[in-house]
Amino acid sequence: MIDMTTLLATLVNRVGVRPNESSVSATIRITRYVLAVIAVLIALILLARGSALPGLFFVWLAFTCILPVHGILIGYCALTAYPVSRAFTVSLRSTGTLLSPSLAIIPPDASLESYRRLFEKTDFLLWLWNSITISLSVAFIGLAVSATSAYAFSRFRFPGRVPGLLLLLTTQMLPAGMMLIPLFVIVANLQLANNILGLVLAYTATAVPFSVWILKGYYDTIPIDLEEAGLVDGCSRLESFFRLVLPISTPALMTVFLFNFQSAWSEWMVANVILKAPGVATWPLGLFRLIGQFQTDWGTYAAASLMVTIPIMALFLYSSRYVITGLTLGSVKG
Amino acid sequence: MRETAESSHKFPLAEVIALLCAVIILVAFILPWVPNLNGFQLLTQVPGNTRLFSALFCILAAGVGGGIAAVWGLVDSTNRRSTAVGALVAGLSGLWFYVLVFLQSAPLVSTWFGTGFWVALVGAIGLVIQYWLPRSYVSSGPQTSFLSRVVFWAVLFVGVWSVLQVIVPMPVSPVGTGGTPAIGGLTNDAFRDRLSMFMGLVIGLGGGTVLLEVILYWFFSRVLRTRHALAFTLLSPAVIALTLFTVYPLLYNVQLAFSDLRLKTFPCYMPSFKVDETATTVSTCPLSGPEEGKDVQVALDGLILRGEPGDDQPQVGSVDKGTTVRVILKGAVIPAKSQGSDFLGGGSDTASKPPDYRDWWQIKLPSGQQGWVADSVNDAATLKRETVLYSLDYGFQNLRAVFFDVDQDGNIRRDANGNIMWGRLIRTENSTFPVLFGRTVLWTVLNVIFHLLFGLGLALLMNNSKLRFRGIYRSIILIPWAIPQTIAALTWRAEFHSTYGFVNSMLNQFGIPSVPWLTTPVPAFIAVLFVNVWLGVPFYMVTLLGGLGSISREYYEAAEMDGASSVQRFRHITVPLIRPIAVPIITLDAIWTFNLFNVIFLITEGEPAESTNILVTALYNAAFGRNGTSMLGFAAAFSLLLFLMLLGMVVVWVRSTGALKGVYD
Repeated sequence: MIDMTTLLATLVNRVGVRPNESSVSATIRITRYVLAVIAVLIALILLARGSALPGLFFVWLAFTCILPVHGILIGYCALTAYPVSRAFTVSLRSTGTLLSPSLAIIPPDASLESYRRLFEKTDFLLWLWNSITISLSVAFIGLAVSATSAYAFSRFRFPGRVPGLLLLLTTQMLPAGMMLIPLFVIVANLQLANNILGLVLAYTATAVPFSVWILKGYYDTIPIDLEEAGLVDGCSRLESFFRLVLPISTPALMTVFLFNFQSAWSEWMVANVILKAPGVATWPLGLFRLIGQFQTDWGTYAAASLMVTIPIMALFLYSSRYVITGLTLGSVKG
Repeated sequence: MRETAESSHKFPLAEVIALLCAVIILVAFILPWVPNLNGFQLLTQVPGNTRLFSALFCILAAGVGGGIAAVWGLVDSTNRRSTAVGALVAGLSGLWFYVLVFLQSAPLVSTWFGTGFWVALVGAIGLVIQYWLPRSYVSSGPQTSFLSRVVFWAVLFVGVWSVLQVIVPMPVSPVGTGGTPAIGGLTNDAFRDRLSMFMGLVIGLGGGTVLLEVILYWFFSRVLRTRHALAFTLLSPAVIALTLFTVYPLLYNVQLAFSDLRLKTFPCYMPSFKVDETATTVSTCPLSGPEEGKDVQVALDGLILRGEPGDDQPQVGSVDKGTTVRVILKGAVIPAKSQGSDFLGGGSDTASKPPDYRDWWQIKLPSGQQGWVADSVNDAATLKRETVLYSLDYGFQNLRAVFFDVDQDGNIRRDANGNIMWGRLIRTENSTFPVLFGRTVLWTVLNVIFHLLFGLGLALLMNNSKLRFRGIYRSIILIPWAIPQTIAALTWRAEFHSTYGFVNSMLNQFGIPSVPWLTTPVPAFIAVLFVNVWLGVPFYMVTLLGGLGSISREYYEAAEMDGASSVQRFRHITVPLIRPIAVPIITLDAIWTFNLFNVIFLITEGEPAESTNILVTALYNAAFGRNGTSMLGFAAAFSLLLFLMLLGMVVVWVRSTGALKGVYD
């Protein structure tokens, strides 16, 4: 049983003027509550008349008036999550209703037909396997190459260091087409089409500058005393790197690994130039060719995009703490 | 317990097991070479030099490494961890070898070779266990690492799976043997090929790099006697990679800017047919390819044979790779079927686009069957090309063509009033240089402003460790960053569809009429801008949140005591302290946005009427697009100019903000 009087008293207490409160903030607070009540009323009217979405909007508005921080965050979360959930929706639709302006998250005639078609009619697993091996190779090699180079940039003073660092930064400014034209000509001249190995190496080279940059920034934050202590205890320079610096740098290494993996995972422009045969297509290429076909099957596309996205999204969110530490310490203090 | 620990410490059980494993692996290594067992023949069947190399190298390393590790562990038991790791690596290499041969010889597994595999497998399991066990019994030992646990469970899983394979008779190979149909297109061959590419690349390149570094170190320290030997050695892999794949193409691009290279310089690529390489090159692109009445070899698999030319015509059969066919009629150019029920920007949304033309050949199969096959002109060239001419003159012309409208004689065109006309990079008025430049700047500035605004706003809201559901909010807000950009762009493209997209559906619910998002210039630009803001906010939010978190609360408390309002606190504490973090992010973001290709290209391709092109997408469209000039020399000059422009702007920006302070220390 709710004691109505207590509830009312609490409400009045919340709304009423508090001690030590300036008149301005009190006015704002009371206005907020009044607006919330109005919004609730409008929402009730709208919902009663059957227009669900505007009704929901006013419910959210009322909520935001009372708890602004949570209201705004929930609103923004809806903005990020709903479009993603649409892929899920479309993938569950049956063939007849693929094209529908409906906003329902789970369609009324939900079926897994699209998933079955994905595995039966397309080379989805092949694309996935190609992408996995390519991305993993890029991530591993990129990490190995940049981890040592970044250490050299961070700890040694050698001629050419500053120009080298600036060169790395400059590579970030190369327009996409700029690499594509020479690459296209080279591939055409040397007949390197469909060469996965070449693609891996090209990806790795593009991944190295950013990785070095992040890792260098991270190494910089590790006190040099640590290594000196190691050197005193009889480590060699390399040993102190592998035994002291690398283990501490796990967050940055994870970041770089994930970044390289992800950038290779979803790249399609370079792949589009190099990989022509259907047997070596990566999933972005496969999906594009799927879309390029006549009578695009959006259910299959949605199913594929969902299956491609969910693992990497889970991985990313799971490791986001690592990634963020690595990024903030790396790029930012860079 | 202590006694157990002591005794296990004294009795080098782990090392003994390691030794046993090494012996097992070595035996497994020798076994295939015994002539009667035909092992050598099988080994040589492993295709590819890298694979053979990695196989030979691995198995040898496995045996020798395992043995050495075990002996070392026996002699000096304080190095238990290193021993275990060494033995583990050795065991895994052996295992890898067997995976290689095992996959190669799936039908033979049931015979003796399977035994070798199981032996190696058992050996590997033993190695993991010996790495695992001492950790749990020896209290002084280091904690088991995450990696070792992963490896342990992985090997355990494979072990159980293998035992099941022995007990339950079913196809041995993980992806179905020989003739069984592949699911999702993944055949046994493709699976093995990519796996061995990956392993070969990691092992070969990793080993090669170490070898190279050792040689370079010797060279730098002994021959050149430089103080910086170690630094140079550590840098060498990155330098080599960048030189080969970034600096060289860059220089090549500069060279191409001084050429008359066109897409048509490459005789049209016909992926379907192998054309006689010795034939003289042809100049007319779409109708080149095999001549009528000639026999050509089909170069692609699964070419669809149709009764009549046209994508919507009934299929009458298919042609296998390698078949020799005779060309009866060549090059009927038929517009590709209009994409009537296309959900993403198809249908009415793309009605203004020119149709995609395809060429059709009528061919005759050896069986006498006749039909039509299609080829697309848009595929890239791999055949030999005509001579490309380089000269300063071409370079000058290319550069001039970026800005001015140049006629065939190289004179700049003037309009009726005698004013110089701007050159069109693609086709319409919307793609002259000043228009594109203005749009790119607008695009970059708007993006950065909105990113910063939303990112900082969200970060400020969430900069409160006591906020409930903080982790959940953060995870959800991170989603746009976590999903692949290509998927995000394509999904948004579908959602901006004027009839079926949810954007218009939602607007309709609020009583706002549908907006033709992707078919009218201004809404299309707004749509693209919206998507990129949506994609970029999480990066700002997360990095700025990290920065805000590192600002000490004491500053705020002190300011509060002095009576500073929240606005004042934000201006005088938050802004100056977040600045060193925000400025590099803004710099990076501005560069990325300026160069952003994916989002615009995937959503609108620069359409409608080339009104959403920025410089980068215009560059791509000019070089490779449907409406472009296909002049690669010109595009190279354009890209060079673009790069220099961006570089200049960034240098000015960096100088004025000090965004890169601290790079040099």
